[in-house]
Amino acid sequence: MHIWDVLSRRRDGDPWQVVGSINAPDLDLAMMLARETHFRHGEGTTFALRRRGEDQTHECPDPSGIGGVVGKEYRRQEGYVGVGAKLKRVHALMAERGLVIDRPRPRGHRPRAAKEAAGA
Amino acid sequence: MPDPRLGLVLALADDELVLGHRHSEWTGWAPYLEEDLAFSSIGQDEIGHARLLYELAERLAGKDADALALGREPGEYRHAILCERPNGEWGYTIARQYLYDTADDVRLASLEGSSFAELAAAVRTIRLEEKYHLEHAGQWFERLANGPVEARQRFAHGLEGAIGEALAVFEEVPDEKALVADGVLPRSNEDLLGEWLGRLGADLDRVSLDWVLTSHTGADGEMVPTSSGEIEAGPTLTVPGVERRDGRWVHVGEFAGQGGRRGRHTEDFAALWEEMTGLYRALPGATW
Repeated sequence: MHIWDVLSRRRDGDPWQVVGSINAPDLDLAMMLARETHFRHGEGTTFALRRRGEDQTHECPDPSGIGGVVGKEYRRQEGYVGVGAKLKRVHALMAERGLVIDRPRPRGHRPRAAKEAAGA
Repeated sequence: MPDPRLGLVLALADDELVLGHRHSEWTGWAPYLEEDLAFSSIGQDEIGHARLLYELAERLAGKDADALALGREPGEYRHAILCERPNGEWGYTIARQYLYDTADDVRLASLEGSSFAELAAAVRTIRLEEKYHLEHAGQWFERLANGPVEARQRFAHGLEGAIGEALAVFEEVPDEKALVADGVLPRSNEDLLGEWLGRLGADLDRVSLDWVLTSHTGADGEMVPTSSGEIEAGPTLTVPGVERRDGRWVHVGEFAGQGGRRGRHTEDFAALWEEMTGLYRALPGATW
């Protein structure tokens, strides 16, 4: 298994920039895995690979379609945006059903509080 | 009387949704991190393709895409049984992905010429991503087929387990004759199956794994030499409906694992359906 540095052009004409690295046994598999692991959300217009310790870069032969062509908004993790408002809504819905959260989370699940307690 | 196009679109969408769900079960468990991410992404692609197709089916069915994807009873799903089988080990998973995606490629290439213009357009978009799935399956096909002995054995075992049911990806869909006559299906499934078998046979011949396509019989069957030179009855390896004629693999007779296109599924799907639709059934219309 070799380490391959992954280089990206964010936009056409941008210089190559190292954006990460992957493990792969050969160039073919490295190309496929780099595309899947680093460019699934349109993070660049094209990419290249350089085996760690070597100078030669290998540019992706066909960057068309990297980042996908079908709507992928469901892949974006937006579930935690506005959590406070969502929590209030959940509490209200629970209250309508006669349910309440009547105690805080167990102490062991609150690492900061536990640490403070230990330090005090 | 439902629009006959609905059965076709649901078959295509359900294949992608159910197999995408199975792929997603590898998240956190794939052989190594890079592949874990790659396979998870492919699973998401398949579910994305399913959504595109369910949106197409909305006006044919009079239900929204979520209700079609998650609000049906198990017997109303039209996917091929191959797609619902548990992942098993990596050898089976890759064998199934290779078989399914090559079969899918043959049928999608044909559907690009469908008289159902919206379907043809959706298929053209889907194929832009499916080419990467084919590449992924092809990369692993070569590595496992030409890899160390154990990898090759496990892959061959996976192919043996999946090939019979993979044929039924091309099981006739409801109202197929009418769909072919209208040009919605430019070619019949039987015709497409013939093309796929030719391609599959060539791939397997090249890596000397074509024997997984061979039908053996048990008791009265074929005789094979053992390592001691004795002759004994061979193992039972049954792939219904595939024969070699004039150097080409052709389909004859029945499919293994047929029934998916008419809503007949295995117990494997019952467990998958429970999990896949659990949240939707508990809280229909929930958003997060």
